[in-house]
Amino acid sequence: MIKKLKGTKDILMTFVSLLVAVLVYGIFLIISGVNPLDIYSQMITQTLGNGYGIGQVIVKSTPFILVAVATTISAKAGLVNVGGEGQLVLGALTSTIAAVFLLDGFPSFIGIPLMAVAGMLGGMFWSGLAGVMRVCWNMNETLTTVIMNYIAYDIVAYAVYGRLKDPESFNWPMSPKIGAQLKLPEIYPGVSIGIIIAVVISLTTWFILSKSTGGYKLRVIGGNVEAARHAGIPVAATQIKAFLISGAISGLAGMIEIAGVEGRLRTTTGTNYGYYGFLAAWMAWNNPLAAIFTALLIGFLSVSGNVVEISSGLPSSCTKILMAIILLSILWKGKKK
Amino acid sequence: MEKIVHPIIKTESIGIKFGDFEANKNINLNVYPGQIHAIVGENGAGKSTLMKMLYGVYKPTSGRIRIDGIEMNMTPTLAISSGIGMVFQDFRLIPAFTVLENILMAMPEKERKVSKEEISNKIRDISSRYKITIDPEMLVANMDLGQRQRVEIVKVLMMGKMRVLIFDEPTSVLTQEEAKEFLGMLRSLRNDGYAVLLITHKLKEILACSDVITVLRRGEIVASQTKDEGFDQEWLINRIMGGEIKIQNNYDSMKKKFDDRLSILKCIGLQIKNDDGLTMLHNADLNLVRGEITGLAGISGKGQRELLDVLFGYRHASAGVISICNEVMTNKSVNDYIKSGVALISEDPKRDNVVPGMKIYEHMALETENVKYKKIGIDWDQMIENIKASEVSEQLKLPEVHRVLGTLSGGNMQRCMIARNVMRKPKVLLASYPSRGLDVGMVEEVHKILVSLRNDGCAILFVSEDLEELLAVSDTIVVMTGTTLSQKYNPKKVSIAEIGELMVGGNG
Repeated sequence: MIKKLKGTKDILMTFVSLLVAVLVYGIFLIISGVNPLDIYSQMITQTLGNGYGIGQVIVKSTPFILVAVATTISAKAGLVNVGGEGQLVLGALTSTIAAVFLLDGFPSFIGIPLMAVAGMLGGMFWSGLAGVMRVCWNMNETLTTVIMNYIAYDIVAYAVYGRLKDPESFNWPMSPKIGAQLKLPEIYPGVSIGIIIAVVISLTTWFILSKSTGGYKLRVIGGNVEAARHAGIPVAATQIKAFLISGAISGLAGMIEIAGVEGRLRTTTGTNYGYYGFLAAWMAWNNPLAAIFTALLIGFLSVSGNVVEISSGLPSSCTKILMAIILLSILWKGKKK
Repeated sequence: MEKIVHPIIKTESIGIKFGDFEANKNINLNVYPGQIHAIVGENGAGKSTLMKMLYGVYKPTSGRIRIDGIEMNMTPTLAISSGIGMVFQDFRLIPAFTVLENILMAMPEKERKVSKEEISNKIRDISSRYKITIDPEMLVANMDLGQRQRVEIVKVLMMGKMRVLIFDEPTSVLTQEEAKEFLGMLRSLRNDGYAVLLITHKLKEILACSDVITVLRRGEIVASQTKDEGFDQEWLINRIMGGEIKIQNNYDSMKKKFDDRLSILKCIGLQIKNDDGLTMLHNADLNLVRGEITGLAGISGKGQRELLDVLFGYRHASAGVISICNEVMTNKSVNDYIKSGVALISEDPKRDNVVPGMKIYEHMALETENVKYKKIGIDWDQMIENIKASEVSEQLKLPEVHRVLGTLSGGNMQRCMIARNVMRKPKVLLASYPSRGLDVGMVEEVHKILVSLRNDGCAILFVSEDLEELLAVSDTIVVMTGTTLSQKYNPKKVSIAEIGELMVGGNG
């Protein structure tokens, strides 16, 4: 009963902190010389007021959800994985390579799963490296993952400017289109089954983390490494496993970007998605269920940013300010607990 | 004509409430210079809370505190500037800093602007005056609890012009020998005119050095007597316990006889290094026998922690062989040791066992060997039922299992960890200071639990700084002497003095 009350209070507090953020941003808008009520109503009506807008929000949010879940898994093991970005990009790269060079002749029901596996392996490879650096050489994973994000961009650039470049692209740095049969099926015009995969993975992760023995051990490691060591839990191996699973999920997000949205790899594919996913995870206090909603919120804000840009003339970076204010106010709410 | 001495601190019926819980009520306390004033009482009697009010950490919800006759609204800063210093139970030191840096940080800003040498010299002056041996350049992280406490004391003494020193369970981290030295230090502080407020569970110490004893029970003062008015052990125990329980000093009658001396855990020629690579133990042999409590006596920081780490697989010995039931265990992992039935009650449960945010029952499944599973996870309902049904949790008066362990007191954490390890029914139990900081009644329960585990055939290594306790509970005694382990002694045929000699003797 008490727990239930606490839950309601929690949701209420989240709502209040969102409201505070909206008010603060409103002041910013007034200073910028626009009517905040206009902007807010446009943001809502033009994105959530029609099927296309909602579809866009869902498509945008899908990778955020996946990266957020990945970040959560690492966080439960006591690791701050900021590498969702690089792992996603590398997953996009490996899945594109697989699609272009190996799977072109395969039918959907074999090709798509294999492409997903390729993406997951790419992400795992990248996070696994960071995991080994952390566990074997005691290198700070927050720093290594950030650095590896930049290396991942460069690897993608190297590929799309080089061997992976589409011969028919008039020298644009992008890969050839993947085979049409490798595109993810759609559940709504423009919206692939990616969102369903993301939500299912998020639910499964939540279930495993909170109910299974493995999740319990992971939480012990994240809570107090010494306690885990004294309980005979293999800390190093478990942390590497957590990192590998994180990488696989981020890599899958990259594959979904290619097979569900873009259809080909560009140097810009997935840029910043990893960081938004990271934000979503921390806004949700590393709860994979709550991360679905924070990811959707961030998705909504980034789509509505474009709307604001078009309709009011404010640069779309303005919504990033709103995003930052929201994050800060949610962190503030957590601090009060 | 005799000079009238005024109290430095005088409280006028102060009390404090946390919600509905009255931690202290109607406390009238006078603290005079040049006196050692002992505050005693069971766990939860409100001793620490009272001290924290005097030091300004908590604000009394009723009553007044007067310093030199002037009513004050205490804060720690005000306390320090009025000359009241407190040595906390959990030391407020920064491990990554040296002794000097830690002390420097606590000093008033004005006094900080002197050269390092001057401060070093001042530290050495205090060290030699009160016989507190510390090296100003040593890193706190590399110090054991006894050494850290000395740093803490020097730190408080150097905070400014101190007049009142409050010690919260100071001797609980010290060995008998160290505690003796500590009491000597208290006496010289008193002779220098300091007022000493001492919270402790150890009745012998109180009787040995106090000028005034104040007994608290359920937050109230039940007795306060000066040395001239007279007090002895019986009087004290009766006041503390309310005359209900008397200390049982011998457990022989409870002990079951074992005919065969079956060796369970055996070590030969162990060499153990600490984190700095210093050899703590060399050529040490140990044989833990089924149904036997082996008491390990020694000065704290002489390698007890490292030895227990090695016997639990947490640290690897640099030489020597360990076997459990004739299976060689050298260099195996903690997990392997747990599977062979070894359990460790850590000297510091908060550091080694407690997971922030997790509930008590979740801690009980940490070594998952005796856990039942349901579908993909642990069967928590079964676990909770087991805890509630177990005799141990009753004996140790465990808190409600749904409470978050990390938010409870150190004593609660310790009792929970004892319960967890005993419930596992281990073959070998390594118990590191299991009774530290617990009240008299609870200490006896812990002893009984150890004896009954022994009667079930467990081989127990019992580490304690309290020699009397060791002699009362153990079947055999091993002493850490120099850098090795002594032979086994019969606790009935060896005196405390002999053991003390071994502890300080040897070639270390």
